Amino acid sequence: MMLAAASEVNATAETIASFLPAAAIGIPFAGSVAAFLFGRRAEKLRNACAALAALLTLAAVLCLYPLVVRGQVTWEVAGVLQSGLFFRVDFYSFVFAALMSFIWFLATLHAAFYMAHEHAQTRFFVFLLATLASCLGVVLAGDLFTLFVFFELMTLLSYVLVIHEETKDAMHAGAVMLYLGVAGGLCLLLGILLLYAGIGTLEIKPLQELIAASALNPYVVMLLFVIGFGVKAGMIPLHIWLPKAHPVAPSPASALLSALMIKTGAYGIFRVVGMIFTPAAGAGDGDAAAVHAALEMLPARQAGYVLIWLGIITMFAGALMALLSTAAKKILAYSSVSQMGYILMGIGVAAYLGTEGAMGFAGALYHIINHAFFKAGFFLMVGTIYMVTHELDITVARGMLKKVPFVAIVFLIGFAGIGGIPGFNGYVSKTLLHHAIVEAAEHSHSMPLFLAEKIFTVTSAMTLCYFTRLFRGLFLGDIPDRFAKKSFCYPWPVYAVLGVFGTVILAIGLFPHFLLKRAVIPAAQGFMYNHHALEHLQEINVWNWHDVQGILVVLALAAILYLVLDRSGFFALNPPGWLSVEYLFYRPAVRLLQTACTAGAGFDSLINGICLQVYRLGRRVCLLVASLDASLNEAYRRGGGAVRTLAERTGQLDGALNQVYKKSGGAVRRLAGSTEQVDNALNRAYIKSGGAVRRLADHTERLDNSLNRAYTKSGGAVRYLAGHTEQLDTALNRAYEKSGGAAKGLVRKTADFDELLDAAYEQTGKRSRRLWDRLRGQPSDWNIKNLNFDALLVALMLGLLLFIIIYYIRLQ
Amino acid sequence: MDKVTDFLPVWIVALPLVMTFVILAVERRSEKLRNVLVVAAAAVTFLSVAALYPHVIGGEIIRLQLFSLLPNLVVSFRVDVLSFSLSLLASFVWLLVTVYSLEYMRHEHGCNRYYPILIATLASCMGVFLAGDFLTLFVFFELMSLISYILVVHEETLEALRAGYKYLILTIIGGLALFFGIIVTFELGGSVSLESTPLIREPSPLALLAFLAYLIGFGMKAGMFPLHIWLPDAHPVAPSPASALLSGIMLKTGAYGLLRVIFHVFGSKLLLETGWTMLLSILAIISILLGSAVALTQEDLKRRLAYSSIGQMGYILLGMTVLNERALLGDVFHIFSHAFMKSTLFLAAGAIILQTGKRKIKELAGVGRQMPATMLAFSLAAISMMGIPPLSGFLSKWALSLGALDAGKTYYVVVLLVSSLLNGLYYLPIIISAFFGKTEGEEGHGPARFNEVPPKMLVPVVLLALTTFLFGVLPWNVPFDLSQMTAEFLLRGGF
Repeated sequence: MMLAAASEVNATAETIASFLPAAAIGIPFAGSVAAFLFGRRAEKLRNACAALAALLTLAAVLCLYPLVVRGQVTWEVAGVLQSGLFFRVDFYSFVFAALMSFIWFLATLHAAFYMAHEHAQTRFFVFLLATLASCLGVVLAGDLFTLFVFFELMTLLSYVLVIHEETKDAMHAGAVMLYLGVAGGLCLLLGILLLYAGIGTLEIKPLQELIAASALNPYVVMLLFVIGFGVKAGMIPLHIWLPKAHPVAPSPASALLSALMIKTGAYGIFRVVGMIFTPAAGAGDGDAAAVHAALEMLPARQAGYVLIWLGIITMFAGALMALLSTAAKKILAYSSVSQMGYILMGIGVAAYLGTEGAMGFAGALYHIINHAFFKAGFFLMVGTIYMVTHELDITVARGMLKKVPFVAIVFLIGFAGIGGIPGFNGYVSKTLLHHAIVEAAEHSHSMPLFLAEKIFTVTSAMTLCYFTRLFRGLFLGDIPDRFAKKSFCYPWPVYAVLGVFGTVILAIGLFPHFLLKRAVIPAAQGFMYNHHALEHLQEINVWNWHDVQGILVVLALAAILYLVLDRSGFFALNPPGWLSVEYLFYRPAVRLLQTACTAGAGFDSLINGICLQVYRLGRRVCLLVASLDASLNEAYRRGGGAVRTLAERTGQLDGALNQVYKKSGGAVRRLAGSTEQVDNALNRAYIKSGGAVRRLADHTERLDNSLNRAYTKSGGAVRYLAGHTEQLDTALNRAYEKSGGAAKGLVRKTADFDELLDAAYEQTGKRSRRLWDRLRGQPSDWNIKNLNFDALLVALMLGLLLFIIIYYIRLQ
Repeated sequence: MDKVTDFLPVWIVALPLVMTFVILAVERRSEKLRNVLVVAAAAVTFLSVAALYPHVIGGEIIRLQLFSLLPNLVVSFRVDVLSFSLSLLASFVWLLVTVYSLEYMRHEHGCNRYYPILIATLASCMGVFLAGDFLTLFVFFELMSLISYILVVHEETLEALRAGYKYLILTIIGGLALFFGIIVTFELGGSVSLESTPLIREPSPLALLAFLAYLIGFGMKAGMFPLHIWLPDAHPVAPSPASALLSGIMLKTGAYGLLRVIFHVFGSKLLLETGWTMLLSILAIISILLGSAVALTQEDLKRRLAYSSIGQMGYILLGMTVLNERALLGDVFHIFSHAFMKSTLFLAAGAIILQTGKRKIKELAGVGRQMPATMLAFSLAAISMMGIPPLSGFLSKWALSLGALDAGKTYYVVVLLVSSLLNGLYYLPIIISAFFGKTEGEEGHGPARFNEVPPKMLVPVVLLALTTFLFGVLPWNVPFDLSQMTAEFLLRGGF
């Protein structure tokens, strides 16, 4: 019958189309919207609506059970985001979905009372339900694309839950979580893109054959996936957001974050390393040797080995930090880191052992279930205390055993569970994990893995130690006065929720094989584990002396460790800040980023500056040209001025000349005028003198006439008179002689004047002649050398001629 | 083909152009009539573009030649799927921004200048997208660049004038480079029409020179490093609706031009052979990283958004250098989604500035409680900007990355993702402090003073924000289908 069950698991059964996966995601989304709508009007209605939505979601998920037993449930929402959303639910997904919706329902119920005195309750419930939807989306997704969509949504939505208190711490924690989440999401996206570009499909199923045939580097892709999911899973060194974020969130949210949401990281890593990177035909059939050889070479094997160590480091460091913390929720958060280490180790072993890795698979999955229950329980328990005390530091809030004995009892049950005490749930999963690591060590005969097994044991002891400390701090001792008088009364649903957690932990612990056979082993369907390993798992019985002995060793170790640490004051140790991963890695990284951004800004302003400088330079050149132009203008202007001045001066000169000419003209005219006057006067003088002469001649004529008349009148007496006349004639002759002498004198005087004029002309002529002579120079100075030279030349010529003549004469 | 659709491209360009003058004439008399006309002009333009949808979806190319300037140099219009996509996007965003302006600009001076210019810019923008040849494109491109200067300097502060001057200088440089490229194309190819592709078939030094000239001309507009320097000055000083258009739409004209250059002037074959796009991809990578990194250091909200635009335009420029179908699909889709996201962001920023007077990011604490709807729209767009599903920014990043991986360029994807992380680092604090931050001295939660903007402003913002969501999630995704068609169309060689 067992064998039949095993073979049934491995035969990839039928594919059933059902809208239930979509419904399981849609219901909480719808509930979220409804809670928002009711929020302001009726608080009770809103709370009821939230709880109802969570319950309906649980119902929808549980409805999947009969289907996933038969095979895979698929549902496609075509076209959304173009690629379409694709859901495929196998049993493995179903286990996660059921776990989530169940615990979410319990936490929502608890939150209805926890949140009663908080602010912004509507916001809390809206995002609580939306986060449930996205968490379910992650685990129900049938391809990595859909998974990524919901994964990113979950990161963003859960942020609001973390920072609900809006204190400074909360904001800081939220920011760290958000930025790391976004960065992790981008790594994840890069991995998904590479995978899709390489093999052309993103379905979540064994794809190793395709990957091997493609040009993909499987290690790079797996690394990206492990980083992306590892951030969410709280894997060291990507865990730093977790111990900050989980304590500051309201307790119901912390419970869900710590118990469930970080499991999506583990889920993703498992799906990638444990499923996608495994061969589809590796189910142990066919030629065993060949299959074995192929599996030895599987990249996932190496990844598994790395994961084992990441898990070991995470579990140990988480436990160590939990030992050093005092705030209850911080201890729980570090405890979550540590427990995730167990789970990662289990996943690592499963991948490392390939087809033989069923033990690791079972251990990891079982521990996921167990951890979900006790960690959610723990957070709700301390939340219940916090509802009254508003203080959770174990050095302050003490002695709660007397006040809330019921919580203390449930806490003890959870304590036993996480400590792995037989009879409680942690026992079975830790035992399986222990088997797994031992198997891995034996299989590979590697010393480091034996060491890993020892660390595993020590960490289990440390887990007991820090929970002892937490229990002792919180529940034992004296109640501080400030809490003594407070009433620790809770409504019954709070007790009921806590009771359910206690019951489940106990039930699983008492009947471990039920869950193993009904949930864990069926979940292996679709994975590559071979019949043999699954059968071994079927037949395993944790109730044997060997395993109980193992836990006794752990208990003894824990007791010694606790005493030693308590005495040595180790718990009061405050690890130096510089030792933290945050200080060593994240701060420098952030600083580097800041520097890069500042450098970028500097570079940008440099470019800007260069451009401005070029512009300024251009402007200066333009100004230079302009000033050159201006100076040219100036020069032209000045030159023009000079020319104008010159012209003006010339004009003035011209005017002056004109003036001079005009003046000199006037003088000449005046001179001419006076000459004319002289002339006129002379004319007049001539005319006058002419008149006198005519008058004289007239007088003479009249005298002649009177004389003629006298001659005619006296004939006879003429002779008598002749004597008288002769006398008169002589007297007249004398008078004529006298006037002739006067004329001669005048003529002489005129001649004298003429001579005088001649002398004057002579003088001026001499003066001008002298000037002329001066200009011509001395005739004797002229060409005296040339004359000599000419003479020489002529002489020479003559000589030559003579010579020629003589020569010719001699010749003849 | 019937006659009406034949002339629709001219109508789409001419209508707002004519309306500009109508508004100019009317606005002195009645403000109300002006507002009605402005919205009507934008709405009719959008509807006219949308009317082309059945033709374009049928793979038809509408061509219209108006008149020829010179032989082979025809002023023409052409509507193919790429033109249609961008003009549809532009007119849609324009319509919403115009409606938003009605309320926003009520508190500003110079509305009578603003509205006609807004519509004139729409006309020239449409002209750029619908031009059938590079000459027509160039004319409208320059027209748009110059007109939008008035939008940039609207505030008339010293800062605005200075930024406007810088913008103007770079526009002129870009315009000259573009003109050079067009001349060389005409010389080498004998035509500048989009019909005969590719125009340049042989690699030559002159062709390389033309490529560089185009790179300068269109890259300047697209905010490509190192020609981006005008952008972080000019976008923040403009009034918010104008910033939304500048960043959301007008940057895309540069990307559009480069797409046309890559596929119509040179052709993917030539560019693959010569590897000239390498230069563009390097500049794009620097733009992405620089824009995102510098955005992180900015204190002023709108300045941060402007730097973010540089980074996001880098995605688009990088996408077109990959030259395969998936990357082109992502590229064109990112043009859509960035337009939606950045307009939302700028409009929301404008609403915040108008309502609270706060410009610095530090002061934004608690704004989300005062103005929940606006801030939700802002958050939606900002988260989309980071590329977080299920918003449209994720789809474009997804397609771009896959395209780059198909081409074997893994480092492109790394650049995109690093930029996404930086986007997260500078957008998330704004959202966080707006919703959960406390102002100085505030104890716990005071009663949330509800101080939302009037619906006229809120509706466009919320509608745009919804588009980033709907066009991410919806299976019926018009932008995505158009992008798909465009990618196929361009790789076919533009026929």
